[in-house]
Amino acid sequence: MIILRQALLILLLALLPAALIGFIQIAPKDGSPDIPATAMTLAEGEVDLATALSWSRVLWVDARAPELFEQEHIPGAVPLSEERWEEDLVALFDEWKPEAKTVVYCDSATCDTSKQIAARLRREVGLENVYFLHGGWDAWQDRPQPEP
Amino acid sequence: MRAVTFFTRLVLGLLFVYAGAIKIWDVGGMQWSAPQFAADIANFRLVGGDFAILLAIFLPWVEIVAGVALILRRLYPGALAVLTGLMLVFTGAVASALARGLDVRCGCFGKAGAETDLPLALARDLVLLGALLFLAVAERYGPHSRAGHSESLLETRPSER
Repeated sequence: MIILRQALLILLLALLPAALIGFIQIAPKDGSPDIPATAMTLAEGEVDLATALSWSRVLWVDARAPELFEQEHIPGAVPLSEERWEEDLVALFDEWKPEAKTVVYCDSATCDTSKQIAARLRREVGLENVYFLHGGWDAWQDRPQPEP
Repeated sequence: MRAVTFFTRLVLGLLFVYAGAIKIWDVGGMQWSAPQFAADIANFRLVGGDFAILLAIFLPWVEIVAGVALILRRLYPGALAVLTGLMLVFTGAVASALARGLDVRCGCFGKAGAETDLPLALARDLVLLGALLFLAVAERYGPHSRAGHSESLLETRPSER
C-alpha cells in the first residue's frame, strides 16, 4: 500500500512543475491551446504540401509500409520501399514522366524514410526534381478540404 | 551485489533525469521540447492531440522526479513502481507501432532519440525494464529489505511493501 502512496506522491510532485511550465508553454495566446505547429522550416529537398499540389505534374511515391499503402494512399501514388526496391522501381518508371516532379512521402513529420528514399532516387537512379513531403501522410490527411 | 545495485540505480536515475530534462528543454535549439515530444506521442496514434500535449508536459517531470528519487533512494519503491509503469507504457507503445508498421521515431530521448529504428528502441526499453525489475527484486530480497527502516513515506518499512 505504501508503494501506491509513494507513487502517487511522485506523480503529485511531478504535477506541480509540469503545471507551472505547461502553463507558461501553452497559455493560449490566441485562444487555441493546441499542439504548437512545428516550425515550417523546410530542409533541402523538402517540399510542403501546398507547393506540391500547385505543381502541374507530380508523381507521388509512397514510402510507407506496404500494408498502409494498400489501405489508402495519395491518388496515383506508387509504392516504393527499400525492401522491394528493384520491383517497385519498375512500377515507378511505368508511371514516371520526364516533366513530372517526384514527391516521396512517409508517415509523418518525424519519419526519415521519405528523405532517404528521395536521396536514393537522386543518387542511385539519377532522377532530378525529387522531393520529400513535409509532414508526410499526416499532412495529406490534414489538408484543407475544398468547400462543397 | 550491493555495488551492482548501486551502480544500476545511479545509472538508471541519471538516465531518466536526462531523458526527462531534454524532453522539457531543447538545449541545442534553445526552445521548449514539448511541441516536438507531443508530435512524437501523437504520431504513435494511440492518443489524441490534446492528450498528447498534456502527456508531453507531464511525463518528462515524472521521469525527472522518479529519477531523482531513484538516485537519492527516497520514495524508492514508489519510484521503481512509477518508472516500471512508465517503461511498460513506452515499451507497449513502441511494440504497437512496430506491429502496425508505423514509421515514427521513438522520441524517447528528445531530438537525441530522433532515430526511427523502432526495434532498437524496443530493445533499449526492454533492457531498461529489465534493469528496473532487477532493482525491484534486489529491493525485495536484498540487504535493504531487512526490518528496521523508518516508517515514513520516504523510507519504506519492508513489512508494509
